[in-house]
Amino acid sequence: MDSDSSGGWRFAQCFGDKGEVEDITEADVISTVEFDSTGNYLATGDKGGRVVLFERNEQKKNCEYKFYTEFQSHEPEFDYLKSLEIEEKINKIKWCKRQNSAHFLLSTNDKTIKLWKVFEKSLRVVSESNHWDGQRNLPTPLSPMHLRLPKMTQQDNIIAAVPRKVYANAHAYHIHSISINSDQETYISADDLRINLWNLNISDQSFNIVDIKPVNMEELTEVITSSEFHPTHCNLFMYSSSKSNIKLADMRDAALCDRHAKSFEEEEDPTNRSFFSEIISSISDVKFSHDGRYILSRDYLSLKIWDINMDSRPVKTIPIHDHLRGKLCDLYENDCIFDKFECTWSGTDSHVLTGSYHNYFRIFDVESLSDVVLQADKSAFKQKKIGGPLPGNKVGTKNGTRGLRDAMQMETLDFHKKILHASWHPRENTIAIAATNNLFLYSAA
Amino acid sequence: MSDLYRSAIHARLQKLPPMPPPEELEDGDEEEEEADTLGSLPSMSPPPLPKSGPGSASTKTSHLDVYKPISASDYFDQALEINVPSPQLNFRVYYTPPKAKDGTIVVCHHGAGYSALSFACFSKEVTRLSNGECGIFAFDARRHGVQAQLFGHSTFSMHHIAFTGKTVPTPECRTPDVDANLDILTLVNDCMSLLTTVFPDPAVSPSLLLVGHSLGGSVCVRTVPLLLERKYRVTGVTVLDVVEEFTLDALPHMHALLHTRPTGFGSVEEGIEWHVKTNAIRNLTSARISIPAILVPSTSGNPPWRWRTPLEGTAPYWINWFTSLSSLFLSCKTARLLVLAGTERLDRELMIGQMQGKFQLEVISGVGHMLHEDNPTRLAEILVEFWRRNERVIVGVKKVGET
Repeated sequence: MDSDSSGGWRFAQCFGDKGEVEDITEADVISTVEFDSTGNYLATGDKGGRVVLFERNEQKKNCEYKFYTEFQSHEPEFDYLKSLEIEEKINKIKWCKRQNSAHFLLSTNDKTIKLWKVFEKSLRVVSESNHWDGQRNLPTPLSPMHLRLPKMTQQDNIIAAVPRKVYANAHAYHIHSISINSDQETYISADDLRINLWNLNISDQSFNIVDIKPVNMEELTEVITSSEFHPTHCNLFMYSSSKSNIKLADMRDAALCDRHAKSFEEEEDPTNRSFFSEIISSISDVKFSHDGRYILSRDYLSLKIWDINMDSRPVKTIPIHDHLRGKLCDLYENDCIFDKFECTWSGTDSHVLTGSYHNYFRIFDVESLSDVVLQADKSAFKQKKIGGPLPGNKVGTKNGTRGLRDAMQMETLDFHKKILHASWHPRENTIAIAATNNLFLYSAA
Repeated sequence: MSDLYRSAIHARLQKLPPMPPPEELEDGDEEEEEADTLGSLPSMSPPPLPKSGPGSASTKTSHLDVYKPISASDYFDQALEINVPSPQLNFRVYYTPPKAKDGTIVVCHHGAGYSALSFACFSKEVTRLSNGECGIFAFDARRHGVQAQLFGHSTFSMHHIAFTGKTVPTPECRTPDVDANLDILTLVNDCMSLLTTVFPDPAVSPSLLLVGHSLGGSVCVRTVPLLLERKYRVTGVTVLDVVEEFTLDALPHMHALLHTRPTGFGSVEEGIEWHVKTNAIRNLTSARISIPAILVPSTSGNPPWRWRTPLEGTAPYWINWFTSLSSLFLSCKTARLLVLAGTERLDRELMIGQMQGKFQLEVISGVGHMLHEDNPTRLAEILVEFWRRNERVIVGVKKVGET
């Protein structure tokens, strides 16, 4: 175990504007980050509806990614029936497993999911034709015997992105999750009240498998907040709700999976109840571990790790920023109490990662619960540039072990800078963190 | 979290009872206390009465000071007693004349059980926002407010009643209601007679904009065709917070609701306090002006103050008050405006009418049924804008609703 306070994590790269928070173009704010199943490709989606892909630079020994391609995935739309604008913000990106040289990924905004094919295309140009022999003009041929077939040569390789399928009009509410099944043939999309099952090849139909819409919308008390397929069992999926429970459903049970196979919910201590206890217990993200034996859930103040076989209580509860417990009233006023933080497992399921405010994020060792606190902001790469000591090595100063953790609790937290989205490389200890409009890469490899 | 979840939470928060005013300031723990006490959900019935009775009145005067009545002299220019010969009645009218002779008069008809003073704050806002170009004419209907019957007078006379400091109705208004008929056609006739008495010549009278709250809306939509027949210029009609189908559906429950109201109060202040605490009126200032007009000293003495218009007795007229309201509203040949409080719910007829663009719909959030009292500023903004848009008469161009 590294005695280094930063847990061996070093800042590797930063993509993005790097300017001041005040000057950020809203469309550049990153709304989702996802490594593919090999870790060689990294996708980000932003509020402007664009998807940017990065590719691992194999030539370099250490962790380095370079820009691969970018395309406009979704455009803003207008729903004329309800007089509502449909945002083009990309809510989630999920990669399909590689089957050939092309990449396939699903990207979704509030209403429409698209399957994109990203592939290298070699551009060919006509090099010789009946009017041009490669160097000079030719006179027009006068007889059929002088006609020749034009010759093409390769000029450039470009990376093209084409929407292969558009899965539209299946959701009345805003889509927040998509998850591809381990069978690589089907996937689920979830909105606030319903979950639909799709076949990747069929874009005009989907099955509704979970529906929690009440008959009278005025009685709405619970919404679905996240959903995911089991990594290996193609019949199992789970969904979390705003009422702090996680339901595991088996598609073999029935066509409509409203009755869960298992429900993971922790009994709440009645002495701790307050108006806010319901809001902060709402689960913002759930993830299966890679081995499929554990579930990681994130609510406003903590992470919980559940063993799939034990639904009475989590095996581990990790407080993230307990010092916010006293500020819930303010956080309700400025709406921050509704922030949806994501959580993620490491490739070996030995660590978990989640974000907080003021660009802080934390990585916990699942066994020992020891943690590392890092901050994704300019200080990270300024250190690296100067070639000075690694961030976190200066014991006793602001960036020491005690320093960052205490700094996280200081009164003047900037609640506009929040780390909501992150992704962990499936095969090594490299993480991608979305900090507003910048993408930070850290590596401990 | 999703907007759906956020709005569901906010909706639940709106439904919670209001925070009681903090008794003393305690160091530092206030916020936590607020967070803890917001946990209870409201029950269906209104909270229990504050104890009223002769003994307790004196001990409570200090905390009731905040509920002292306010005179309407700051809100209306004049208070008039107008004797109308044909239904032998004296009408109490609160009047703010328009600055220009050809301005518009906003005629306000209150709802059942209330009085013209419920439009006091609204009137002040309208005067301010229209720079005095709109005048206000709010009157108490029969058996309401400070309206009384005058015996024996046959000529039309208008008495100015100086605004005294007292807003308590004077004893002479306590003559028994001889003509107790509250049938809708009677009320419409009253309104018509009053307006034709005050503005006898349609050619030179200012244009009229009728505003009716609840029952008043019903009266106004029936008065408009009569006014138009007599060649008065009617700029528009506004109905406040009443939708025919839902009101008719709710009528059977009215009796139960009225039973939960107290039969009377220990003092006018307590009456004001009750209305504010039960959120019947969310605007304290407006309640302090309008409630004194709906309470009268009781003859029996216990409770000391009773309702001026006990609504249980008006039950026979309820159905006729609201039947055909939607169709009559939609067929008014003038500009139409419907203002609703909070959740917008239209019945079928109104919904079709709205889709066809037959009227303007405005929804004010954060207000209760007495929306003209709860948020007079917003309503005045809506009304003045409605007036401005419909008032300009361009020769040759048909006005909204004209055939």
